[in-house]
Amino acid sequence: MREADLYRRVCDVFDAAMELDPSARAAFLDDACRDAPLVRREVESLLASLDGTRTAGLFPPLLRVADPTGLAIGQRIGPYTLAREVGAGGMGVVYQATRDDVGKTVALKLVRHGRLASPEHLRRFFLERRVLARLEHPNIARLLDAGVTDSGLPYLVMEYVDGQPIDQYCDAHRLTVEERLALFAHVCDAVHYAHRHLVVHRDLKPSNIAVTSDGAVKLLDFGIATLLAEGEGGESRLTRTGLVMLTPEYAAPEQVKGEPVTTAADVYALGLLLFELLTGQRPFHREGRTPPELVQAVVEEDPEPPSVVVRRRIASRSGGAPEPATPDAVCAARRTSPQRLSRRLAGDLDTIVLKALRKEPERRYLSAQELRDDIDRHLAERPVRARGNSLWYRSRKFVGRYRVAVAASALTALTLAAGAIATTVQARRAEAERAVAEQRFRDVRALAAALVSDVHDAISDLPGSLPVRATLVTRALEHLDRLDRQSSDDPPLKREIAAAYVELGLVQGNPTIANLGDLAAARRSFERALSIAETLVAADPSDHAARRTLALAHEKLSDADAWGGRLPQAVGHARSALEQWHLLATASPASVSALRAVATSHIKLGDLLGNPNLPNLSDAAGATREYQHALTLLHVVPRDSLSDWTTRRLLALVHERLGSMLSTAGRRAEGIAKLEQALAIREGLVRERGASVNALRDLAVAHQVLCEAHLAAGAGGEALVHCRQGVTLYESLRSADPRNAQSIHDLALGQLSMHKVLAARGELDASLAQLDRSTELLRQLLSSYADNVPAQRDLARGLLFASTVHARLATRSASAPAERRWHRQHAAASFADGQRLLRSLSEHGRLSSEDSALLGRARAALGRMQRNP
Amino acid sequence: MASPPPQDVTRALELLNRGDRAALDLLFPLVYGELRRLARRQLARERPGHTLDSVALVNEAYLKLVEQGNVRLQNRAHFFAVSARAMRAILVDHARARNAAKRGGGGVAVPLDDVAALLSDAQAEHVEQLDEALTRLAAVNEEASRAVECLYFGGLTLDETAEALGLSVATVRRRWSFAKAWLGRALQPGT
Repeated sequence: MREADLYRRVCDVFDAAMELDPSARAAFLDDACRDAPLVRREVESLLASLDGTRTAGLFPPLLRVADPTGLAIGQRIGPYTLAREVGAGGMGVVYQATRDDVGKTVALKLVRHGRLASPEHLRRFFLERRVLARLEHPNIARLLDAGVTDSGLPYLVMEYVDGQPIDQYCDAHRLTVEERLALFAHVCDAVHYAHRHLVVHRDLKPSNIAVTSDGAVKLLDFGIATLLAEGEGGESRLTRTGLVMLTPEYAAPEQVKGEPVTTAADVYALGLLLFELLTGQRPFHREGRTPPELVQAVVEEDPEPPSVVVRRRIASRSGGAPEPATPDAVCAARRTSPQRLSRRLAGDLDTIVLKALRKEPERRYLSAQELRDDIDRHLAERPVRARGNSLWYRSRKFVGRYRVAVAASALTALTLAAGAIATTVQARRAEAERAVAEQRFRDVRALAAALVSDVHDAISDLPGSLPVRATLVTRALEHLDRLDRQSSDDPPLKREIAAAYVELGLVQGNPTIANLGDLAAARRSFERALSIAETLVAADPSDHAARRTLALAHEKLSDADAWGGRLPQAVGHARSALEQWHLLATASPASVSALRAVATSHIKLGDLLGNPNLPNLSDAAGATREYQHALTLLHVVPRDSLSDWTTRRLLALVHERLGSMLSTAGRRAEGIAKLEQALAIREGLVRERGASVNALRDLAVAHQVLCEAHLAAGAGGEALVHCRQGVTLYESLRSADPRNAQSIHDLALGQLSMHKVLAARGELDASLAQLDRSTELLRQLLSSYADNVPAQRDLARGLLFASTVHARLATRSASAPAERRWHRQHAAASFADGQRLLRSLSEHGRLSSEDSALLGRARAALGRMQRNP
Repeated sequence: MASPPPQDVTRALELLNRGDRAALDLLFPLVYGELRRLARRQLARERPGHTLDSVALVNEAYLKLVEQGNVRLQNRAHFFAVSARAMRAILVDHARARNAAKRGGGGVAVPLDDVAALLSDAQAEHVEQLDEALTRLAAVNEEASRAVECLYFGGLTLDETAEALGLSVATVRRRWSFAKAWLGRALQPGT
């Protein structure tokens, strides 16, 4: 037998043997190789090679590819046993599996292209998983668990859903248009819920939306695309398109173009889904269209209205039924005829679908909720938002709602029509002006909605949301400047613009919440808001909305000035803010939020006057007085359930401030008692609002303040316990949002505290390590924003602390001479750097008494070192 | 490496569409160059010791070429087959260079270029051996050898591999098993 023939036969026999149970192979080989012992020997040798451990290291993971046949039914992964393969897609293989201990059936998704091994990626994988695990919605299949197999492949465990893809379900049950819309509304609810948790699906399509036999909608794979499209750094997370699994037919134009993907992509996908559920077709799919042509159509072609599409003969659905669906078949599945279906879709539904499918993300519905609302309005025969506000349209809706009555009066209307024509020309001119006004109003509303309401509020409190907010800001700023130039004398519009400038400034650089760290830009926005609001209030003192904006603008300018080291100006703005809040609270005495605003204002003023933990005017008595004012006010605020946590948060804040003041004044036990009261409130709030960045940060601060107080009281053990808890919290907040300037600064401050605790315990080397980390973080902060005065000040403090610790180490007799020499050099160098930095701050009058004291102590330590060689 | 003129690419793709496998060779230099460039870039970002993500690379190279109009989307599967071969070549070239340098002989001045972090010494040895074994396997069963190229070096799925090689998924699975057995035996010393 020639070698080629031999091997052809070897392969055939090998393949056949592989199909058999190992125990049946010998008999099979006896039979198959009766006349060819050479073939038999080869096959047996090959089978032996496969059975043994010889193939183990054959394909080392230099390329991160799983052995595609490496998993078998019955195999265990963690606590799960694989029962059967239920599907395979671009992302991986899905198995039905059982959790051994509780016998629960789950879906286990093995991520084929998962990035392996790198601890950083695994860490992000698990972080993201925690976000997804918080999605609890009846229409979203829950993420139950996730892990990594022994071979390093990430896997996800999801709720097992036994259902049918939504398009097939609708057709199989011959759902009418109304029934389809009702089902679709549930999909919108689920998507909106996820968006509020900052999770974008990015791959919504019928096969990802199941309907169970009892008619419940379940969205599958939520957030998975994001989870897997992880780029090198966290920042690319929201902008990268999942290249591996992109389905062009369901991709939004911005996804195809590789532009940032936001919740708008999901709104677009919802539009596609609705299109398909209503018409049985996809807007850009045509017979014979190649994928690049399809991509081009997605980017360039305007979709035809659904009502037009259903009249046409339909191209075969890709991946669907082999024979082209006819209009009649599509309509039969909807219990209607082509003509009736077309009429049913014309108007509202056409408009709704096309609005969701706009090429420009900002022209689509702002949220899935808004899309859902329009569906509801349509079903209730009320005017849909998508159609704008034309008189003609609204009256037609009116006719729809009161069909009978209108029919009766139609005759009358006819006779009136003749007279109406005369006034039409005039009316049209007025209409044009109103159109401009309405357009402008809509612009502001759209902006306000984007910035202030839903999206921004929902995300501002979530870790990792800054990139999204940065995008919002860029777009909003262009928008606002244009509007501001256009609007001359239009108080309501001016009011909205002023308020929007404040919101914008907050995202740009509000030192008190997560921010983008651009203080100069923030200041400009606050000043624009201030000047607009001042004009409005001067013209109409009863304009409370404008006054509120005025108060806010003062408050934020005060923050910005304090942060920029201009303390007297900061106090001036703080007093103006307090005055405005007072006026507002007097005008509406029942308002809880107004009272709270006044209390907050007192606290902020007190901080500027004499909070030892912040740059201050060294007026301790003044500060305590302001804090007491705040405390009194908070005790009279009625506690309704809704606002309770806000009040409690403020209460904790005041306790903390008073505790710090007492502690600094030497009344340590009283101070610690107050601080512990604050900590208890903080802990309660975190229990209730676990995911909130603010609540977690507050808790961390409470620990840190307590640590400092215990330290001052000489209780090193207690101090260490609180400091550890604080730093751990700061660390987790920072890793959740690595670009957030505040969380970097917080962590640096926590490490400064930790250094003190360790130094007090004599653990000098560990203490120095904390300082190194802290100054490193502060330098990082200053490299992106050099004017950050608190960061400069804290860096100077860190350097002086380091100098002191080095000086102590340099005189430690246990150390080797070389080591001591090294510490001497560093003590001198750190002192010089710290002193230079503090001096440059003091030239601007930004040096507090605490800072001077610190400088003195560091100088003394250095002196001791030099006297003691 | 200079890209071949676009008309060459177009012609190669036309040949591919007609089922002419030799056209892969025309495309190869283009894809090799692009992948190598991307690999270098990716490694520059990664810390040493990290491995390449071949799937990401191949996808990136693919999109890049699509952008330049050099590859049309319907050639996806073929493109991936070419990429798989290119990935194999990149790794093997590198492994050879590394092994040669390590053995310190032959007088072949192969510079350890900036892809140096790609493989460890042990991996470099293994890759070179695997490549030789794969070439021998191709003489015995071409399909099995190609299946390994796609699945292992190219990081393709079973489905993609089947499409690229014009085989059924079941056949790819069988070829993969055969290749594993064969390579396992071939690379086992003393067997």
